[in-house]
Amino acid sequence: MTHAQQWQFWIDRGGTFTDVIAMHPGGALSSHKYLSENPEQYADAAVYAMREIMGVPEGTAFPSTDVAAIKMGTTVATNALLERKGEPTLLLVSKGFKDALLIGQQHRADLFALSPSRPAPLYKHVIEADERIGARGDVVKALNTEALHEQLKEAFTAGLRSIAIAFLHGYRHQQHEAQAADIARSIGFTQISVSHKVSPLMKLIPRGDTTVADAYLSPLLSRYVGQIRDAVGDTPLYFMQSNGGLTSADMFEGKDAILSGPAGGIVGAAKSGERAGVQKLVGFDMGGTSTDVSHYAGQYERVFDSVVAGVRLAVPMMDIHTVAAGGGSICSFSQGRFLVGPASAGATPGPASYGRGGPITVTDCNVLLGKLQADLFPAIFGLTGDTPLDKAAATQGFQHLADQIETETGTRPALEAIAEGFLSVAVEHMARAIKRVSIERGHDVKNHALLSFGGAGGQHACLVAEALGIDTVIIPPFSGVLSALGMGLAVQSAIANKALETAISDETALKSAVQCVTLEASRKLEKQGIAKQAHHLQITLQMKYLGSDTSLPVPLGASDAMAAAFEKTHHQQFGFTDTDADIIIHSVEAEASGGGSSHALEMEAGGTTTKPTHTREVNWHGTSNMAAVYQRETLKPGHAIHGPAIILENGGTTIVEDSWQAVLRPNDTLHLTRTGSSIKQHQITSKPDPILLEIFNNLFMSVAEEMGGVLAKTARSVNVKERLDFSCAVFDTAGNLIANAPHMPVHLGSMGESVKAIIAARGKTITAGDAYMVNDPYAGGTHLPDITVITPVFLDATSPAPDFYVASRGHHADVGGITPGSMPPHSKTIEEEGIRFTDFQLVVNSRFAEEAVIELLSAGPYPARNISQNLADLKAQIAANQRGASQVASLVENFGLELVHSYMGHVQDNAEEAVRRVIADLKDGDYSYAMDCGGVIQVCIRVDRAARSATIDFTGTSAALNNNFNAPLAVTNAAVLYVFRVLTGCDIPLNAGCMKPLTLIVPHGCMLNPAPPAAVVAGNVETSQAVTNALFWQRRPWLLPKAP
Amino acid sequence: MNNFTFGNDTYQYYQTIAGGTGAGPSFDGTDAIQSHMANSRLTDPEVLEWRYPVRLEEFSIRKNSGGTGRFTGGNGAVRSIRFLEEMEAAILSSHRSAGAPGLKGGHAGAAGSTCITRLDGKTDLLQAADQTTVFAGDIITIQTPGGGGYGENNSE
Repeated sequence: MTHAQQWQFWIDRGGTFTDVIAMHPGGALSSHKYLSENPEQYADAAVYAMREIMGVPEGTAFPSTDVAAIKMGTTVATNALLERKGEPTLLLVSKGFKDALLIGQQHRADLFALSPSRPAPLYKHVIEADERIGARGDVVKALNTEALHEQLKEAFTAGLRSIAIAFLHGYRHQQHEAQAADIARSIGFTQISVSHKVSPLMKLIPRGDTTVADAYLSPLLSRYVGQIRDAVGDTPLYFMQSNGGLTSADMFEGKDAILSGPAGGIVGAAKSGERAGVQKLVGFDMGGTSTDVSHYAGQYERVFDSVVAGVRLAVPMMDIHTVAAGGGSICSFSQGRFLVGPASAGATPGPASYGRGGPITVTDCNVLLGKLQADLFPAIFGLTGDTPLDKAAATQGFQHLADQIETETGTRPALEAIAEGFLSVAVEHMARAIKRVSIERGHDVKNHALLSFGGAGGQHACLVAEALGIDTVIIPPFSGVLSALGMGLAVQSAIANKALETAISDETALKSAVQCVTLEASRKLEKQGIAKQAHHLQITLQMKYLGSDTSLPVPLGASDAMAAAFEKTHHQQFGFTDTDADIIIHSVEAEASGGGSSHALEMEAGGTTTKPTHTREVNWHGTSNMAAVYQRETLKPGHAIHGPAIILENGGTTIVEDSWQAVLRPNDTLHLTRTGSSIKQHQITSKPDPILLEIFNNLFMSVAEEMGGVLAKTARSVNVKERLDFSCAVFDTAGNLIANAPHMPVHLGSMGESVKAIIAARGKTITAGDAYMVNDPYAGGTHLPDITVITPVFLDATSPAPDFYVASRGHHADVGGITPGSMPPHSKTIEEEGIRFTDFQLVVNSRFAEEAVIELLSAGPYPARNISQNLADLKAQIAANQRGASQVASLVENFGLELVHSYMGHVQDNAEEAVRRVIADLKDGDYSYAMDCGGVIQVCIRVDRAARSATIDFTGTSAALNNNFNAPLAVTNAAVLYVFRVLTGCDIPLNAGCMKPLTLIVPHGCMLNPAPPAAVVAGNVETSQAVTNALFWQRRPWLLPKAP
Repeated sequence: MNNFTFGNDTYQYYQTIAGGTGAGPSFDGTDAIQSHMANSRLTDPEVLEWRYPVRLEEFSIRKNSGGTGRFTGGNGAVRSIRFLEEMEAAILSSHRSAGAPGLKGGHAGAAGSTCITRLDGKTDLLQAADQTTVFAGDIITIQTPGGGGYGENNSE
């Protein structure tokens, strides 16, 4: 039997649904959806589906000769990881490192958590092996094999069968790991994952985590694969790996299984995009609980270091960013704000309109507005799973919300206005997340098309596209089951990689590494049954500058060509090249691929209708319209549908918004293009509209985050690029903080003082095309290495004063002073800590004042040591500010200056109110805190409950010290703001409003408000911590946080 | 915060080593994690040893260093670095003379310490803010402070 006469099944087994595309003998495709878990009906959804589609009853043999191939993606591994339900695993690690994976990089995920948490480790037990190899392969301590045998035997007797082995420098110097694996094998361990095989790359923590994940997931995965194998006999069976390539079932490993399902979605999106003639696309896969975002511009984008469910994975994976927002995201009204998510109604109870008592969600907004019509939607809801969408339940939920809004604000909005408001907030959230991840990856999405798929994608695609400035939306055929389609269109692949860390000129080392990875990748693909002559080989090098951690992929070539390619990519991505730094080859990767699906996608639109099938009442912008409803399957290709309209298809609904037009192309792809703007004109009101308030909170934050994205991308120093020691912010015309994207709590709120210092010093001479820099701890700075660049924004060249300011603060590696790195332990005056400047004009008439900066940083007894690096980081800060300025300008263009100004005020009032609410629950307190450095911090908090304000009085604190533990006032402010932000316990916008209810009394000349020339470098790191401790340790429980 | 720097004319390195966080009215503290004003990340041990002439001998959770109470403070960390060349090393830290106090009857966490063990076996304790010259073979061990406990422990 030839392939054309056989079946093929492409299956995506998700958490809730199993999607199946069947290729029938003859080549026709059909799509099917099954519940993944349905124990009353079947043991396995995939096997049941195939039998049902082919009409082969249970109890008869699976017709494996009739099936050419089964290609599957599965979330079995992902779910086991999320739910921590893998195989009990033993971790074997070098002596001294038993807690290394648990501690990781020791940072906390939530900056403002009073009780910071970390994900539970995957391993059940850990043993230290008595061995040590140095970084260059020197055997410091030979492996004590006898002791190890005893240790492993004991763990085996205790019942462990799965082991992960990760020794220091084992990725390169493998002998001890190999010996340990042999011992484990001799004892009888059945799953042995060894770090140099699982992920032969430098960095113990991610490699160790990956090895543990492999040992933890592989046994489970092989049981699942075994079940399928038993059920389908010797039918060729392939699984999708996280890297986007298929592998034969017997070679499917835990480490490669985490993104098995979503990777199929990217392949499906990429192939569909190519078919639609789109060069650059943003993949937008919106489901019930989350939305997956990806990019494609001719090549799959992969990452080597991702974190899934708190586990670091150092294996090549498709670059997918998951946003916690979907159709099931819960809508609520709290403290004057319209909030969407991050909590989700999940599969049970689901949205209110699912009829099982669920909360109001994004889906319910669409039901209430009529964008989803109950009678045109499958009846699969309710307690029995067979009733239509329950619009009455949704309406009731919205009435409750309206009651609550009325009680809190005094006005009762129309239910439709509430629903539309939540939708706008949800769309803005998603757009903000997509913008952020796109900039981080170096993409400007404006010239991309949005390729929408997944259950909820089509309902929001036009709105999200518009918020991103995108004019084209593509809804491909099979958009409801695109991941399954991707399984069918992917090729088989095998990847091998090897760490190098050698200079680009070391051709011998490179040659042998290339040979080694090529052989390994080819061998793996051959084992999958693909003959060597059919292999497509691609060798990619990860290259970086010496001393940097940011590597970039470059195809193998002559060393000159590779260096040129690296520099070109580096310049594209980061805006600079470093002519002084050596180029290093970090690692080498070989990918062997082949055996792809030969069938082109030959779907054709076959409909003939130009008339709507129904007309339905839908609410748009507060008015009711009659919207035409079409059925995609019967639509005539080429016919233009003008919004507002609804297009239904099996497994999805597409909303054509009122300024959009939809055309179904002959290749069955739905193209939506923007014909105008559907942005609503807003009225200026003295009282803020809570919906606009939330949207502006988001938009202002988005500006600050975009600035941060540009800065992290273009900065040169490790401090900014990798330690993320920077912050960006937006200010109003008076220098009040509007929005702040902090990475460092100590930068909180203090940048406003720096902006105000510039306004005070430069007053009316500030003109368009200027930028200033300041690092003076006595002018809003924190310590000298933190340099703030401030750019005034003039919307109109004739404006008498700046309309806004944007600023970015970065920690520079060195600004002079008595020790390299400008963090001297024994400085006694600020002069010994580096160069200090208060209002230095960095950009004059749009020209970077390079000579003047060099002169400034080279002056004095302790000049800066690496000025070219300062210059590079300053240029990156200017670039970040420019991005901020243009984003603020486009906000004004969209909403009008007056409205933007009024919401700059409203967001501050809202943050102020959030802090006042906390204060109302606090009690008075006081504390005296003695530091090792000799200083005493005395603090007393007096709460005025009626006025809902508090005075934080540091009177009695020691006078400035004769060491560097003095904290500039900005640091003291930041510590206080941090404590109150933690106390609010919710995600309030951080702006100048937060400080309004707080009065700080910090006597001039004390160690928390010192005068020059007091030294301050430890104030930023040590004393700031002591201030927070003193505030949290009040003798009376003034701060008892309420349960969340 | 345990700011630890070392270097010479060729190398300079700066790291912040976390302690344990304090317990609260409904939760234990967390072991060896950045708290409050600090949240910088730590270089991977293999990268550290590849770039600098040092060997990390131990990086672990400092057992029983969190203050006891109804809820226990988080444990600090133990970080032991052996130097393979002559360098200057410096520490800027707090809670060396007294540990982080407990709240509502909880006990204080253990104070931190910075100890140098010379190649000949002699040991010295460094001050909270201190500086020393290290030689090849010397080991500096930093024990970071534990978090304070919260509430009286009824079983005590």
